[in-house]
Amino acid sequence: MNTHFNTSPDSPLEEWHNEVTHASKLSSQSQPLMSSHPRLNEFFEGGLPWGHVCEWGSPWGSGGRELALSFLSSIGQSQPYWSLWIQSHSDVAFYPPAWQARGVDLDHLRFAETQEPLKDVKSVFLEPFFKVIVLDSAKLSRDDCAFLKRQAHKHKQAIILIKPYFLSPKQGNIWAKTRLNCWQDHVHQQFHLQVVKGLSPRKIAISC
Amino acid sequence: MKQVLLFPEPPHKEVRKSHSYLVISCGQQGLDDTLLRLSPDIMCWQDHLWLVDLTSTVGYWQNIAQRAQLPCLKIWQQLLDDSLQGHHYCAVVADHPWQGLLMLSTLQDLGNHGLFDGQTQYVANIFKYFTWEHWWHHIERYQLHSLREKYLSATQVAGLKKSVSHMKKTAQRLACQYPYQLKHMPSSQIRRRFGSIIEGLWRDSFVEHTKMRYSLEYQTSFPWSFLQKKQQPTVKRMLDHHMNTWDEAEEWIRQDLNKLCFSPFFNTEEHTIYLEWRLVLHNLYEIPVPVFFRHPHSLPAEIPSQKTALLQIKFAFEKVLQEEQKSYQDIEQPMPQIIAWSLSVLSGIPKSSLITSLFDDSSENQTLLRLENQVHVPLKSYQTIDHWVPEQSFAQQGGDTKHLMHEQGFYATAKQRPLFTFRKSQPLQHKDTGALWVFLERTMDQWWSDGSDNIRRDYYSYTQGQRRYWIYRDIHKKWFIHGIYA
Repeated sequence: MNTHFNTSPDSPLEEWHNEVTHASKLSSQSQPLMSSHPRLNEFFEGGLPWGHVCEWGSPWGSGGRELALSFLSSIGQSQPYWSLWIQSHSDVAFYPPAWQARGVDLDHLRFAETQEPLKDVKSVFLEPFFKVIVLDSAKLSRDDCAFLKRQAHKHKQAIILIKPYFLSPKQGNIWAKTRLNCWQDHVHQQFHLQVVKGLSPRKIAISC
Repeated sequence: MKQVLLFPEPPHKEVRKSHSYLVISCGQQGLDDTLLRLSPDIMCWQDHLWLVDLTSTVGYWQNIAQRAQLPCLKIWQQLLDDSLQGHHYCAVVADHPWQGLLMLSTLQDLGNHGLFDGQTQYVANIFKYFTWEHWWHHIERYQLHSLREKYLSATQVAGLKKSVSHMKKTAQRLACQYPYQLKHMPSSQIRRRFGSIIEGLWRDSFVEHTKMRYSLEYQTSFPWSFLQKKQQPTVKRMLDHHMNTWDEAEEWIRQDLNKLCFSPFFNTEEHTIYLEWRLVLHNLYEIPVPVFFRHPHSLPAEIPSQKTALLQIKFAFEKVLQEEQKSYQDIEQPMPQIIAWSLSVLSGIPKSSLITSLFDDSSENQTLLRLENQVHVPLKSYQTIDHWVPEQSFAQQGGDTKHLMHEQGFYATAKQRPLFTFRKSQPLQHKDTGALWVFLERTMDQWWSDGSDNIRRDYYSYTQGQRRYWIYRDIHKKWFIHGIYA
């Protein structure tokens, strides 16, 4: 749409055109973070909203991370965005071929391994470079969670906290907009999601 | 049949120093200027023969290679070809400078031109035929440089000459045509017969340095005589009051970094790779705090905040402080406070026009490089390799990975594998009979190649309660947990 305007650089039409370009950028920014799994997008009423923290409860071995990964997949995305997966479990290492085979664009994903993410990689939270940041099994204080919420809001990022246990509705992270539990039924080959906070009570089973 | 190799445990410390050396022979005048674009650490071994220590810049070149999607060797080759237009040169990249010298001599004997990787099969094959003449000639140069650089004392050099004479006689008596034939002699035998210096050179010639170079403690022993002995920009500070914490020191360091940029010896055309902050304690002991940047960093570009340099200095300081405090605790003494320090730029790299022409220097790339320079742990990126053995099916980006994953068949295999693997194998002690078992794949290594360990594994998906593991049975019918479907 920007090539057929035959105007001088300072003309009102050019200014209008620039505004339209910026507005289009803003509108694309306001679209939620889509998963490569359509049913998951339906479950989240369109996708994960930018500028918020989402907390997932998924014990190790339960398969929940496989579903969280679908938000890093480039399938269905108009533009690739940079993502960062910070892993705090000291005994395990990433196996990148499996990530790629699940649709993740390894060129736009960075991996970090640290027990203290807010100390060791704090700079990444201070800039909007990474649009999706996953903190897997990190031990975070209330202040840390508040900081993450502030930064997510400021930079319009989607921050996903994955806890290595199931979340309880009785107490928990007040800074997370959405809290849910996720696990895989290995016998029936289905993922299960259950909302704890942030959306109306619901539960879904998605075939693997 | 050997025990199955498990997922190799990665080094706990980040590899900041990887040792690579380039040895080049070329008759062109001004070769040193070209080589200084590769690394600030170059040495003239003899007329028309130069050594380049790439240790301080190899990380930078790996990054360039990654962004240009080429192996490091190709980048260096392009730089040399462009700079030495029309001039024949012969060069080799080796894990040790001594090994590189011997390789280069052999390559030249066979009339080779261009840049060679010392780890290729071709170079390995011809390396078997380096002659005694090469060996004696380079030992002679080694003696000269050692004396000049006071790497060896005059007595040691005299001892080395005797050992060489003894070795010549032995080689004649044994009718040993090539030095390579001594490769399989135990090092203790070499030392007993010819002394420790010859033993060291023998080891540097034949031992694989690839494994050793991934150690921070590993230092290459060599009589280096670097060409560039220009004065390093340094700022010194005597403190009015003693201090021991980063919060107290930060503002002073910021000022010193800014001062450093205006030092008459500071080269604004260079980007910094390696800084040293040398602390002087109250007991007059000096503690060096080495500060490495993952990517060359421009100090003047961050005046006055110096955010990136301060973050890296802080991480390095906290690490050194922790170690020092521990050592003082061991002797039940409080650590003395800091009374002074000096801050120096020890290594930098010039911005080359060729480097920027290889890829677009977009702001996105620049932001990522800056962020990587500002964090304590590396932000790793990986690429996949078309190999079916799990451990060999991916590599960290930046290395010289030759085979990217092209085959769709490997995707299907990878899709059945888990997102995470255990760093250390976990023997599966108690198999739950009620658990769900699904056979996934049988994996073997390249059993037809010489270096095969004859690996064979049968992989299963093993579901125990709510947890699903990736386990295998090795050739000895032992069970291990390799990964977890997280």
